[in-house]
Amino acid sequence: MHGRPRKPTKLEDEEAKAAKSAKLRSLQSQLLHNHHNKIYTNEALEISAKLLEINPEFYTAWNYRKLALQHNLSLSHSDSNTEDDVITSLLNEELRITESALRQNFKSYGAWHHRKWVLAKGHSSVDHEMRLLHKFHKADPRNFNAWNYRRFVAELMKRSEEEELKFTTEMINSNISNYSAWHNRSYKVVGLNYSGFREKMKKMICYDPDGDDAEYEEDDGKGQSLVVKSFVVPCFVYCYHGPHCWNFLMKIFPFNEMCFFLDDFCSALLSDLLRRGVQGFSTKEKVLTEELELVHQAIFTDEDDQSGWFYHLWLLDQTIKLDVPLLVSTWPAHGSDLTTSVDGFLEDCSFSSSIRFYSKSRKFPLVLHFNHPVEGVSPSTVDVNYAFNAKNEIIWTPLSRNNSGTAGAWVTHLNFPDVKVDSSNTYPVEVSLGNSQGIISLNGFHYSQPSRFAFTVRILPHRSQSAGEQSSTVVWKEEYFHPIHESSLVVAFDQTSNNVDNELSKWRTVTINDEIALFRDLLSVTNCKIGKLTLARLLVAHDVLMQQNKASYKMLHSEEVLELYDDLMKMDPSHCEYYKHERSFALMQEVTANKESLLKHCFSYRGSMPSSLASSICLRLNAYSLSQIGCIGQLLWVQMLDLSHNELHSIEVFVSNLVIFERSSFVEGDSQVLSKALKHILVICKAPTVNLSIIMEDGRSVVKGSCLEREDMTECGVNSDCDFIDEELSGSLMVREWCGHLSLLPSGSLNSPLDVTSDVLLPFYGKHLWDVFHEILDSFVFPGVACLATSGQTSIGLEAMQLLCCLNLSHNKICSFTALEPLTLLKSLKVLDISYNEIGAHPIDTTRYLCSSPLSHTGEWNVTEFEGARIELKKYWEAFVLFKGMSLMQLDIMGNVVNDENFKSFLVELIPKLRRLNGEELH
Amino acid sequence: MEDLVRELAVDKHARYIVSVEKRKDDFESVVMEHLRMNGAYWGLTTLDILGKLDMVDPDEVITWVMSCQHESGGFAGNIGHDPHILYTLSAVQVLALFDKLDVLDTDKVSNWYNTFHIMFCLIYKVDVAGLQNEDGSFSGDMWGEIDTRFSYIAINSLSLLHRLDKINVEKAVKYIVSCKNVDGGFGCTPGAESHAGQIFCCIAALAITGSLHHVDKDLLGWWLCERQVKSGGLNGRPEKLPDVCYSWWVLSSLIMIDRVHWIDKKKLIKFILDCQDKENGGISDRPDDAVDVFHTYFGVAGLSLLEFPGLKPIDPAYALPVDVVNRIFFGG
Repeated sequence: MHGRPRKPTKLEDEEAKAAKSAKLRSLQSQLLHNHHNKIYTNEALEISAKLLEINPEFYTAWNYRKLALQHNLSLSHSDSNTEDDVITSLLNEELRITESALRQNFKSYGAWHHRKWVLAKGHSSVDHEMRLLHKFHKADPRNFNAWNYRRFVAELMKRSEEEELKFTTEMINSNISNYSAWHNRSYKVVGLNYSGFREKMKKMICYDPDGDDAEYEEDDGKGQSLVVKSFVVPCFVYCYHGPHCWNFLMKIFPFNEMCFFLDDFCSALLSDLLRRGVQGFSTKEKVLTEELELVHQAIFTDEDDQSGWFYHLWLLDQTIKLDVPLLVSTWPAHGSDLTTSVDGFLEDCSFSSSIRFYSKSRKFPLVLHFNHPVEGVSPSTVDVNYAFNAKNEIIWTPLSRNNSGTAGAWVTHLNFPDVKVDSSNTYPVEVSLGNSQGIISLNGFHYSQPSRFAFTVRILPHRSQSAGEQSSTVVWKEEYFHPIHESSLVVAFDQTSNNVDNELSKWRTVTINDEIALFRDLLSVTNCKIGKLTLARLLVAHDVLMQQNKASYKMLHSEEVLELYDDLMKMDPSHCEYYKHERSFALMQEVTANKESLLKHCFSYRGSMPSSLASSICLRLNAYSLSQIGCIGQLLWVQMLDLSHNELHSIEVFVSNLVIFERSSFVEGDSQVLSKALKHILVICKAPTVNLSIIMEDGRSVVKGSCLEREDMTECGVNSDCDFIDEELSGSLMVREWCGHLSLLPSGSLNSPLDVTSDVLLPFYGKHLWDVFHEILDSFVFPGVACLATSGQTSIGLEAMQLLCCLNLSHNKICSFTALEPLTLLKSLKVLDISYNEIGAHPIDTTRYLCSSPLSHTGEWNVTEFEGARIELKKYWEAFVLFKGMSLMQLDIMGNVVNDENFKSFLVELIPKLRRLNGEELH
Repeated sequence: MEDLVRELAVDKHARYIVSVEKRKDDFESVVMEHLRMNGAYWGLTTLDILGKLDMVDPDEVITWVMSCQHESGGFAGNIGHDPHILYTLSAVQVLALFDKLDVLDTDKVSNWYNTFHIMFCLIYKVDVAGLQNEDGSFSGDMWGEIDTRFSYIAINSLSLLHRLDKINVEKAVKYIVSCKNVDGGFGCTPGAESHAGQIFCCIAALAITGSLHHVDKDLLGWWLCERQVKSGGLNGRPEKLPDVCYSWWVLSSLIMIDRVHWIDKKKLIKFILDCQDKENGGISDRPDDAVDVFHTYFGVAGLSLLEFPGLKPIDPAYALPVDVVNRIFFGG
């Protein structure tokens, strides 16, 4: 009952309504009667038609009509004398009824579905449906049922995507404030996962893999048709299999050529999707530039109109984001020296340039932190070489709390057995990954950037005295913290500079700079919130792009960014917390940008501490107005962290795709991998073979892949260091030029013999090509990744900080124990202060579904565990989830509603190792 | 907040709901006849949140609910109508409210299989293939309409019955993820525009299956918090009018992704309270419009999500009071 005014009804209305109501009631009961008794006479059908015109939501009547139609159609089929027009008139009647029902209620799901159901029987015409849709779009340009129906019709009637895109343009031009049209545009621009589309491709390939020969023979002079056949077709097979092939296709072909033969080859649908494709390279430049221009019109026409906002953000995101997983940082970092003690005596150790670390069990964590959640980190994808390596011992664990088996951070523990060592003994450890496939991101991209890092571990000899753990209590008082000198901050910054300067990065920088200028212009005219927000995002993105080029880059715009967010908070107080969140990220970025800025927040702790805390350096971000933490990749070394007096709701971390480090310096000298920048990649297509050559700066060709036509697809392979094949550059060849970085696949990975039957021939054919090109081209990326701050895909929490031993979260806004769940993955955490938060004060738990529990079917749960347990367990299940696996020694929870005697005794029982609770010694 | 507490006409809303229940002959009731099962869920859940569930006779309700069960196992919107997944969830939720999910066992003698018989005769309908399709999506009934609403419904009801293992959860999740749009939201089928109601369905389905890692929380959070318009109310899509029902769809989604603090809660509370009919009870879509049970439920549930004093907290994913959900999953 939407939009109907509340008013007392008049008497005559009352009477009219009563009559209407009686009529409807009678129709409804007659309909049900006919339905139950399967009466499908004309009179009975008429009743259902009348009913649906008045009340299209009466779903059983639609079901009844479907049964009736099936019944009547089967009658007319059995009667061979029946003319086709009988069937036609039956179907027309159904269309007529849905039309009048939709006129009554254009949002009626039942009516729309009924129409689809009839249409699927092969009835009606595109023109007719389009005319009808035109009426509905005119009446309500935002009617999403109509838009959905439009996609259905376009698909069913094979209407070209060209026309559909044109339609969205028209809708936008007629009224720029049409979010629905923008949405449909983005959908066409992405077009990666549309099942209907894939179906279409599948059909095309299965039934007519070669296309229509006659039609394309004419082009043969240009060599196009064969190219299409031998090259594009197998790629299309892969469109059906997943997004990879799209990326692949779009990377291979420059925009205009792509359109050229795709227009020829199949429906314009493809060309449209591809022309608008965003994963590609030169495609991307052109498409994004065009689309940005269009959406600027929307934003600049009325800056408060939201129709273009999200589309614009998405375009910007596409401008600077890459989907490829990359290694962001590691612990230990490349080149670091670690000194490990097994007994906690590190204070007097003389290796000042060394990172000190305590491990009673002679194990220590090795952490890999990726920009995207990935799966497949294992001994077969990551090589770890050190003196005590036993292959089977290395077990990688995803630091994640969901069922997916993927995580942004992975940890393993290296074991140093108890051998008699003297202090001068150091052990080198070398880790390399990316040399074989297997690490895959959630969205299906392979990790393919080979990298290697190395560090040394020194194990101090065991001494007889044991450290007195009992007496140590961490006190987070100001007087215990002292500023430190740069020399005492031994943090291996995992940040190596690079001098990437390729076309893509240039284009990105130019685009971002143009956008910045444009939004500055906008703001000089009008003081609007979207202008400020976008400018802030752009400046952050700009700084990040710059930072990738220079390790010591200072966040040039951070003050301006912070100011912009401050303005926004005042201007739009309703969304204050959102801006605070974004602002926190900018703050965190500033802090972690370089060693110098980090140093300002590092303090030496001079109080008592547990022996497991080997370093006295505390990172203090207390009272820093943070509502969110971020940039954890830079903080993997932290053992003591003070986040008190902030505004944290949770310890979920803003995913920072933003900071990525060039790792090419690690791979120098590796014979498998060429770290030098490529000059060109040439993709050479010539029937019946497709060759791929990659040309290095020095003119050497390093890879050549060739695939023969499928009849004799016996020869394929990649030869390293083969020579430049210039004879293939002549004649009717297509040559595509690319610039960029490259790391190469190991030779031999393509040598698997192909023994194929005709049924599986095409996919194999495609796969083969795909393997060659995908691996090469996926690594053919700007080795930096950035995205706008708003699009953190999956959060990686504090769990990546595997060394964290003492954590202060007091005086924040944490509302429940479920918000602290990432802590369960911090096995070294001993001291936790969560006093003066809001735990227990809120009936609604906003992290209830972000934590593992039976509610979300995550974690190792057994409901009977609760059923059999005492009442407290049910009452305190969140605390149970959090603390049961932790080995805390010191915990502070005072100043929270939940903190009562009952709960405290529950905790003492739950955490047997606990020595101090709320400052009081336990016995 | 305290000054607002008195503004909520608890007793009037409860009386309004009971009166609608009794009213069967006016035009609105006749038009809504086919979805009485939804109405029962909306009304009864509202009563429970208001602490007034004792105003109805549980036995009467249960008897009526069970008389809407079709021989195939699914529930209809009312007696004599066809079964549909939409009404099956409401039936399961109503039974859960009264802690009577066990009648599904005992009423039909044929042992505990019946617990899922109700869903699964529907799910496995005619040809055992069930309402779940090859691509992981769900149909609403045997006529094949596909919508992520139905994915949510199937996942929610099966989870309440502890029978989530009866479907291919992985595929179901994959399908929902394929409906994700570039604005971070979700539509009813792949490619369909984001809509707050649909976003709720998808987010809740992902929440129940522990799959919220597929959600771009910050991007979606921004889209959702921008649903708040100047009056304080929430709309369901950009550039649309605010409507009380989005207090549920948008709020519950924001809660599940822990971004609810990004909106101005006080202004929203005020908007909902302004939509009350303070004379006759009930809540409408916008101030001074005609009230109905649907908006009364979403208004009250929205207030519950906003931690309005005196209301029972409601679970954002299962759309049932937290104590009911906890009883099902943590025993008691």
